[in-house]
Amino acid sequence: MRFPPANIQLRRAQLVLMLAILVPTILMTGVGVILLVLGSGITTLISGLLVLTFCTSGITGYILVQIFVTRGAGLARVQNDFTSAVSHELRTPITSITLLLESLRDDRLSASDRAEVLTLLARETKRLETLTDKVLELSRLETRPRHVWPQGIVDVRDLVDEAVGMFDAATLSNPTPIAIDVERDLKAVGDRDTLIRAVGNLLHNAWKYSGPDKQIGIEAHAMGRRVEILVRDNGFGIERDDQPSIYEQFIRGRAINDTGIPGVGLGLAFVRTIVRGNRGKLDFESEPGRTTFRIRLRRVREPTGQAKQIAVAS
Amino acid sequence: MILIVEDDDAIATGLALNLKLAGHRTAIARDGDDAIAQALATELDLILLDINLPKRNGLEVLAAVRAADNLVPVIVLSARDGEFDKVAA
Repeated sequence: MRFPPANIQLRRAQLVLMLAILVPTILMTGVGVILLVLGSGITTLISGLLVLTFCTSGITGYILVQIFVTRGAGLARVQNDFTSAVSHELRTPITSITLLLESLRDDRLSASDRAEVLTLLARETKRLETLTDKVLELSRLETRPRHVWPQGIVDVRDLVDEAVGMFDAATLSNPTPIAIDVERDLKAVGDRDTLIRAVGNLLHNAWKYSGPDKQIGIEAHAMGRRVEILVRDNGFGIERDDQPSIYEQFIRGRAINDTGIPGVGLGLAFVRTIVRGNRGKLDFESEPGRTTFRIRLRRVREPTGQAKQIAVAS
Repeated sequence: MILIVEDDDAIATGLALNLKLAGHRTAIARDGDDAIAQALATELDLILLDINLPKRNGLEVLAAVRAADNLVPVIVLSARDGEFDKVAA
């Protein structure tokens, strides 16, 4: 088990705080109770009440401090993990570019080695550019205020078709048919452009993380006041240990890392940010050979009749 | 002979070319299992070892090499610069 030193320091500080505040407070509570029970004069009773009031304030203060300290430490840890992950992902292409440029010095490479270096340099530069764009885009979406997210009416069939089109363009190397089953006249509330990216990303993940006999399906239907979009695949599945952290930036499952499938671990962070921004919900079920991601969005109900006013289910 | 254990193509090639220009012979292993197999089968002068590797990570490779009483010098190369990784290496 890995305990960073900061965590150990935090636990020690919490222990000292507990002993310094709780032990005297509990002793004083005992004194207060004794004064109330055994005291006869009015002065003694008032003293007992004051002691108990003081003890209650002490315990309340202790609980509040614990909440704020724990929350602050949690935020600091998330920020630290993120910085560490970003610096790792950025350093890798920067290191390779530095090494490759170094090898070009003095023009001592053979023609074939030189050609290989130039190809790798172009690829690494592109990789760095793509990664930087992704990090900036994700940061922009995450910090976008809630009221700025477009609240348009999205035709779900159109959304799915666009996402499948995006998927087809990204998987030209191994075209894979997608089974589509979308309920008619289904409409959701949200930002069409980002939702297309989110659904396209889930489809692309389904394709990336499955074997040669890929079976990918997308389904959408109304479920009460929500629209449910389900993306299913028959891929490797997400290991139970990896499941709690799959939405974290730059985190990839260990089993997936072992496959050598390229990726930096930003796709699902994007999907979650987009679904949250659209005030939807995202969850999944996974086991080897079967994974289903589910996006739930607010549904638009279109009343029939003369008054064609659009009602937004909240 | 220097064994470069690195799963990133560009870094492995960059290291290999620079070492070649400096007059060294190199071999490349792309994952932990391959690294252990090459380390135990070849007479090496040095291993340049990444930590994040497919199959088995660099620290597991190092443990397996030392468990076989192989005392070849190892330099751990990694973008992971946390205190834990430095101490573990």
